[in-house]
This record gives sequence, structure tokens and C-alpha cells, in this order.
Amino acid sequence: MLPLVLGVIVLNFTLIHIAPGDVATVLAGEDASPEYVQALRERFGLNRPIYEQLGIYISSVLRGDLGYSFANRSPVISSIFERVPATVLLICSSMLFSISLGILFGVYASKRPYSKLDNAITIGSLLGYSVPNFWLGMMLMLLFALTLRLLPVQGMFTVGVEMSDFERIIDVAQHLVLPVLVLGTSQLALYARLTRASMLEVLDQDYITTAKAKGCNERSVTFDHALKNALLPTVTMIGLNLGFVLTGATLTETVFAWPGIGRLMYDSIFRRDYPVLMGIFIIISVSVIFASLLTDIVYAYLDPRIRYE
Amino acid sequence: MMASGERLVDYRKKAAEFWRRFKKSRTGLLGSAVIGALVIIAVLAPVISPFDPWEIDFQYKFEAPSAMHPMGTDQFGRDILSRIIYGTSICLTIGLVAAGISTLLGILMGATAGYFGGTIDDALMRFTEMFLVIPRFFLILLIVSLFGGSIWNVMIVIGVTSWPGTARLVRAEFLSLKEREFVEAARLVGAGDRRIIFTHILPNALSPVIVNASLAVAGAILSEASLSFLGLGDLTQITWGQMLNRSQLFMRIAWWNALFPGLMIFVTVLAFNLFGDGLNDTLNPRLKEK
Repeated sequence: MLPLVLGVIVLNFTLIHIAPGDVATVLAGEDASPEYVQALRERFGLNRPIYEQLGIYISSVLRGDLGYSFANRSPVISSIFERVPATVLLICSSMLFSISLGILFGVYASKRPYSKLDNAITIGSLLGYSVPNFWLGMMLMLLFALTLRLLPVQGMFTVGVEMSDFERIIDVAQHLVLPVLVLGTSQLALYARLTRASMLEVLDQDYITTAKAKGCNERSVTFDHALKNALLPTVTMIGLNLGFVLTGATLTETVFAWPGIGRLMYDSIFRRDYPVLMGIFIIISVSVIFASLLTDIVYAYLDPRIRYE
Repeated sequence: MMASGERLVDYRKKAAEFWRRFKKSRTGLLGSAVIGALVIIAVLAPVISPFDPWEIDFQYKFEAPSAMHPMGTDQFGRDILSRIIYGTSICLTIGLVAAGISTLLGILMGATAGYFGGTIDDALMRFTEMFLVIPRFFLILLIVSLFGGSIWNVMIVIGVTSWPGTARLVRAEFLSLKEREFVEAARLVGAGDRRIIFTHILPNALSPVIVNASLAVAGAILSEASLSFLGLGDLTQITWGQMLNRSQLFMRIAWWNALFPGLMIFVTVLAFNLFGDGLNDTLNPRLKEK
């Protein structure tokens, strides 16, 4: 895991150096004061040999120093961490939605392959996979929020209204519905397809026939015997997919003005706030690397046949 | 060595065989029909678009869809249908060029790693693995915001960040193919590494690469649309993603600004995914479910 993290930092360092413009300005962002740019020049040893600069850069990033954002008037790392809860709430809710429904759809599709339901799910997943999620978000917003007025349009909660804690939760939940639906759709499709394929494979095996022969009921065969084994690829996918989910979250947050990391990114693009953009890139890469490590561990735990030295 | 005139493989026969199988795939046919239509629209853009896509006329701003403007007009009174027609060629170009770059890079990386093996393979695969793990879209976004969003930059950046999947695919094919007898035979008659890689192994490894390339076009188009939507695209070009970006401000009063460009992105991406699906059924029939 550490080599990968180092790789990401080195990649970032390389980008800073080959980007057009002065290295110190890129490091400081476009709003920075001249004094700060000068101070950075000193701190990162920009007149020293390149390998020393790399060393300084790596050690400062590893210590959690991602620079200072002039646009946000705070260190980059705290601007990012401030936004983590909103993004985590969005991602976790959408994963819960897409994983549970995806697996359910996948199981039902596999029970009668090439039936109407199965075809509908296959077509639906192809559509869900191809639709640009930001556009889907805009269309759902247009329909449910602007036209039918069933749900709030943007943001995470209603501003300027006194509410009890319980009302607050309901309020956030209402704001969450559309973003979760949008972010969950493409993932749902993926999990449905994956579960269907691995269920079809498992249902073909001898121990399923044995289970049926000894008189287990249909339900128990499907869920206890088959699904348990068919879930392995799906579980792996959940971990490996975090990068895509985060990408989707960025776009979804932009559409719905959801105050998470994606929205911070969108605002930083406009302000040319490079330190924040690079900080987000590093933090997200590290989370994705961590998630893939975690996936390996969970996978080895679920499937005892696999052992890592 | 064979003279070029007497090839063992008859390409015309192969093409006929390909078509015989491809036309059975409904998804493939639908996808290629839509792609064909898009190409025609892109080529004939100046002829078929009813208005000049750049012409500003505030008198006609935010006109709802009508017989004169079937998709309405935007905040500058420009005809949306014309802008969509003109955006087609850019969308297709970006998709094809970016996918082309990533496929070529992937082939080079994968072939080198798979064919030579050993330390070269280890080093290249470490590198590939890193690029597979890093969330690609965030990398693209960072590079484009640092280097600027001209149409060429966007194409190149999407291309050079998307090769790892292809590389892994090609490497796997090379690993198994290089052990086969025909490669041994080629080596015995004195063919060099380059000749073996490009004329003997590569043609046999192409099927999964072609399928992957079609899906890569869809992915590249979606990436570019997302970038433009976030405001990072080329402001001198008409792109569907950018039209969507602007439309967010006018959702309440002019929904047609948001509906049509997004629908076009959707249809185009879907077409390339369907086409790839059809190619997959045609080229890798053994993978088709029992």
C-alpha cells in the first residue's frame, strides 16, 4: 500500500513541475499573496536540486500538510475534512440502496434467465450504465423538485427554519432522496449484472442439485446455498468501485449543491485553487488505495481458499 | 518467409464471416445504426443545421421548442438544435481519438510486458497497477485544470490515462499466445521479436482489444462530457457537456436547455456500449452464456 501512496505523491509532484507556469504559483494557488508564494519557494527548496525538492514534498504530504487555501482561508486538509461527512453520508446511503436492490434484482433475473423480467433488468442495467448521471440528476430535479414539488431542489438541509432534531433528520433525508437515486442508479445496474452472472454460474453446480434433491425448498436453495457463494465477486466489486462512486458523487454533488468534497472541487476549479484540487486528488487516491487493500482482506476472510503470503 | 501476395488468411472471407455473425446481434446492429446516423449528422452539419450555431440574438432568447426552433433557444437566443448538430463532430472526435490513444498505448504496454516477461513485465505491471487503482477521473480533472482545457488537451489526457485496462488485457493474451507452436515456428524460421509481436501474435490478440476499444469510446465521451459539465472544457468549441453546464442556471425557466444536450450524450454513449456488446458476441462467441 505504501508504494502506491508514494506513487501518487510522486505523480502529483511531477504534474506540479511540468505544468505550465511557475512551480511556486501552482503550489500556492492563484489567490495567494506574493509573500506566501515567496515563503513556499523557501520552504519547498525550489532552488535546490530536484530530488531534494521531491524529498521535502513527500515528507510534508506524509505529515498531512497539503498547503494553505487562500480562497477558503484555511489549510487545505481542514477544508477537505470539513466536507467529508456530507460526502460519506451520500456515498453510504447510495451504496446501501444500490447494493441491496442490485443483489435482489440480480437474484431474480438469474432465476429465470431470458425471461421478460431478466431482459428488462438487462436492458435497464445497460441504460443505467450509459446515462450521464449529472444529466439524470438534472432531469429528476426538474420532474420531482421543480415541477411536482415533492422534494427539495438543492442543498443538504432547509436553511433558516427552526426544527427539532427529529424534524432535522427527516429534512436531511428528504434532501438525500434525489442524490442517492442518481448516484445509486449506475451502481445498481452494475451489481445486478454481476450478481446475475455469478448466480447463473453457481446455480449450475452440483451441490445446488444436491440441495434440491435432498428436499430443500426453493427459497433456501437460492438464498442460503447459492447466493452465499455467488456474492464473492459482488463483494470484491464494492471495494474496487469506490473510485467510480466518488467520481459519480462529485458530479451528483455539483448538480444538487450537496456540501461535500465534490462541491468543494467544483468551486475550486473556478477559483483555480490548485492546492485544494491536488489535496482532493491525494486524499481520494489514498482512500481508494485503502479500500482496495480492505477488499483483499475481506475477500480472503470470506473465501478461505485464498491466502496471501 | 511469405510473400505479401500469398497470405494464409483471406481477409475478405473473414469479413464476410464477421458480418454473418454480427448481424445476428440486435444490440450490435442498433448501436451501429445510431453511430452511423451520428456520423452522417456530424459530416453534414453545415448543410442540415437550420441556423448558425454561434449567432446571438437576444430578441429570441429562451424560446420554448416550436416549429421554428424544435429544441428551443438558449440564453443568447441561439438555436439549440443547430448547436447540438454542430456538437456531434466534436463529441465523436474526442471519443475516437481518446480511445485510439488509450488503445495504442495499452497495446504497446501490454505487448511489451507479456512478450518479454521477467523484470520488464514486473516493472510495467507495477506501473499499470498504480494507474488502475488511482481514481482516473480525478487525475484527468487535475491535469486538465493545470494544463488547460483545449480540445486537444482533453483528448490526449483522457487517452493517456485510460490505457491500463487494455494493457492488462493484451498482456494476458500475449502470455498465453507466446507459448503456442506458431510462435515457436516463426522464431525457428528466423523472425525477430518485432515481427513476431506485430505480425504473428498481435492479430490473434485483437478481438478483446477491439471490444474494449468500443467501450473506451463510450467512456471517453462520458469523461469529456463530465469535464465540460464541470466547466473545464474548451470554451471555443460547442460541446454538449458545456451546454448542460450553462443550462443549470436556467432550469426553472428553460428546461429544454437541459433536456436535449444530455439526451444526446446518453444516446451516443449508449450506442457505443451497444456496439461493443454486439462486437463481443461476434468476436468472443465462447464467452456467450450457455
